Amino acid sequence: MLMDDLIKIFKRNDVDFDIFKNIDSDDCKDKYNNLIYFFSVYIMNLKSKKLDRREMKAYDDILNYNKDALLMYLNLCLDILDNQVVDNSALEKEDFSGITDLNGNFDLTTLDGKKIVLKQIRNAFAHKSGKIFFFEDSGVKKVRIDNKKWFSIQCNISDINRIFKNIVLVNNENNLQKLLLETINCVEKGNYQMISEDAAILVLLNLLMCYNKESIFDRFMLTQTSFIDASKFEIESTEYWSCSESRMRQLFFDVFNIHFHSNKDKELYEKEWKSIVDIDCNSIVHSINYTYNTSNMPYDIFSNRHIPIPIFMNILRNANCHGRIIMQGDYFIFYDQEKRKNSNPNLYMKINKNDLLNFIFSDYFTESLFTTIDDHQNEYSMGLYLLEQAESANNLASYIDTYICRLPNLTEFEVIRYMYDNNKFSSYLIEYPGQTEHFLNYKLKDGTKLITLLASFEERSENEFNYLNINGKKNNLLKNKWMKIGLNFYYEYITDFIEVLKGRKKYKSYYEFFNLYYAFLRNLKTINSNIKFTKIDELSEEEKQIIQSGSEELRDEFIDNDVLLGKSNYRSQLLLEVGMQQSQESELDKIIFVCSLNKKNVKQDDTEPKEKRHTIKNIEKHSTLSHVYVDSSKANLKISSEDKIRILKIFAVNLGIRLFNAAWMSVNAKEGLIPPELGIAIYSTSVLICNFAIFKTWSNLVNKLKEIRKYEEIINDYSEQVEGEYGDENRINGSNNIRR
Amino acid sequence: MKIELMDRITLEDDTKYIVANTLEYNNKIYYLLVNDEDDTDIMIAYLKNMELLSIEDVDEYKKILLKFNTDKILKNMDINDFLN
Repeated sequence: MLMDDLIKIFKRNDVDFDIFKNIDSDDCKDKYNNLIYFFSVYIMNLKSKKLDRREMKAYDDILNYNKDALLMYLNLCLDILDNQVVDNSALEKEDFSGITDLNGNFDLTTLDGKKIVLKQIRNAFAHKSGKIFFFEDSGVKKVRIDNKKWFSIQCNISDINRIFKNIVLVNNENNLQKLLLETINCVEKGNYQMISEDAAILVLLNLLMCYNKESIFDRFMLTQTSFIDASKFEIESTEYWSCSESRMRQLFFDVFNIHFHSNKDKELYEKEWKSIVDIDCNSIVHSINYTYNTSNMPYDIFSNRHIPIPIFMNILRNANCHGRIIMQGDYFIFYDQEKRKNSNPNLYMKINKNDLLNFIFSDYFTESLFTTIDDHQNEYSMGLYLLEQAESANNLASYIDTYICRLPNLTEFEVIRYMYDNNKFSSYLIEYPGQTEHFLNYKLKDGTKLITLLASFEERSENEFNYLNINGKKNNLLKNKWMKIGLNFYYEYITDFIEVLKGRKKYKSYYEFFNLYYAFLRNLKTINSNIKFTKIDELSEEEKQIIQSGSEELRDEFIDNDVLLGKSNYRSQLLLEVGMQQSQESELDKIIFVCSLNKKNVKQDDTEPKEKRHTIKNIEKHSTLSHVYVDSSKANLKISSEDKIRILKIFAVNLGIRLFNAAWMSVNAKEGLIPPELGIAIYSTSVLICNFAIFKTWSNLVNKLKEIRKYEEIINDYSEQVEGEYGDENRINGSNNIRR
Repeated sequence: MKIELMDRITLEDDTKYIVANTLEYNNKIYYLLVNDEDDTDIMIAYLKNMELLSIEDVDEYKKILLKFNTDKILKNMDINDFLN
């Protein structure tokens, strides 16, 4: 992006760079974001030598004026980059007397006190709940930082910067740290020309990913990708696919009850399997690449694909939160987990620096900088954000209309072009494949067909879009099948988990359990085939080390009470029970984990009633199943569609309880000697927590099932057509030969 | 009053619970109930004088929870039965 363009955008949006004159913390954080973005773009422009002396002087002045704030940001980046960079002995010697603790909660002469303050400064910066407010007092630039109710400090910004600078533990092998330290030096001297381009990228990545108040990431996710939910996308691991493939294959044959009748059949099955794997595992990415404009999508060199933006954003965020970012020559590599040197991350992508730059400086982010979520929601498309709430969005015309309203200065043609360039149609069709027909037939106001216009953008024939119809339906069927496989896989996975719990005496392995438990917690939210089943004996020393450090890391996190905080009474009660009443918000996984790590539990309230009376108002008999008892055979289960959800719930809650019970029995078998890592049953110190653990398991399942049901409905709408119209095609790929 | 698997019970405060499992234990029939609208609300209760008495004591709760035979439900309810 050129500086001129950026300045124009800033002007249009009334952005000023006086970060020391703010209305409130939100305003300040906005200005902070703008300043950092400005800084990064400026560095890039300096490198490409597109600026004249006069311009450079003006920009240098802006940065010099805000230098303290800029340095604070860079110091914080350095700290966020790696928690290990703090030199404790230096910290101990550091003088904190310049920091005023407004609530008087800390002893700033002790190491612990200092550590807490640094941590809270970092959190205030990185988390949404934190507040940062820069101001000028008698010519001195100061900052006030608040986080949580009990943390509030005020000091000269230069004091904070001095402290951060003095306590950095320099690691010569850490290139990113080196880059940032060099950058800090250059900024201090006002020598912006010496700052490297890579440092500017790094700074931007940090900006994009931090959990700032209404961070750019959040804005982007909410405003620019309204119709894509990143959590619904999965990219298969580039590392573990081969080991899970055979497992999935097994499941596939099991699920469809496939028997081989001849070698010919066998070949056809193989083909079928291949088509499922090829199309379904990679379906979304594939269909986008094949059909739509991928120029805005970052290209992953590992998997040789363009990656849809939300997935990419997720990878970035994960890399920044709990993974690693590595620079290798002209490439950036993002790992989604583990910071340790010898870690074995299970998901990563590699992107060319220029690709990354194009992406960062695309419309996506510049637009996100100036559109707040509130503005966006109020002004343009009330309630259209969350797919779940956006019934009306399930209609291509209203979707296009949303953009016409959002971009009032553009003509209909220009809006369509914008939507095409930014992959809005592909996003939409992925989310609403049922709208494919509508998409193909959609006409603009002047009567032109939408696909004619789209085809003209790339000088393609509009016939090219027609196969979408076939592929859309076919993909849907395959997708549905895949979901079923996934569900079964999930079930299998839990069964395995239980087996390991039961067989714990045999393995007696801390690592074995933890490996599974760790994977379990991490993968519970999605049906993920990336779960690695490894026996303890097969683990290398390095892997054991990784698991142990993962465990310690999580435990430390809890000991530090470093959990995100929330508000409901229910959660408060839970937190009280696990001894974390200081916190206001929670993450379900972490709560369960903290309990499992034998964190001190607060005693039960003795006044808790042993039984509670409930008067029954009505019993609604199950419409078709009142006669079905637990012993009835499968054949008796003729279930009407309105009862499906009810059954799904029952199915899921029983699955959750089964897991819970297995864990409990396993712990009990140890006759009172409960190892902390097997303290899964300890979290049942109250009915609430019992339910919580069960809920954790089954709610995910129910969601998955609901999703399946959604696809089921879509398929029902036109599955007959597919059978009729494309039967021949099915025959070619052998699917008709499969006995089910 | 007979309560069966999959019935939906409405309580006086209009909360609706689905019967997710049943258990005969200690001469009582316990019901595993799941709130129809709030997934985190699971309750174990038994019938007494036309009223439902829910177990609030955690030890008792766990003890009874362990007795529920979940496999009988899981095995009988094949996911494919209602997806196909």
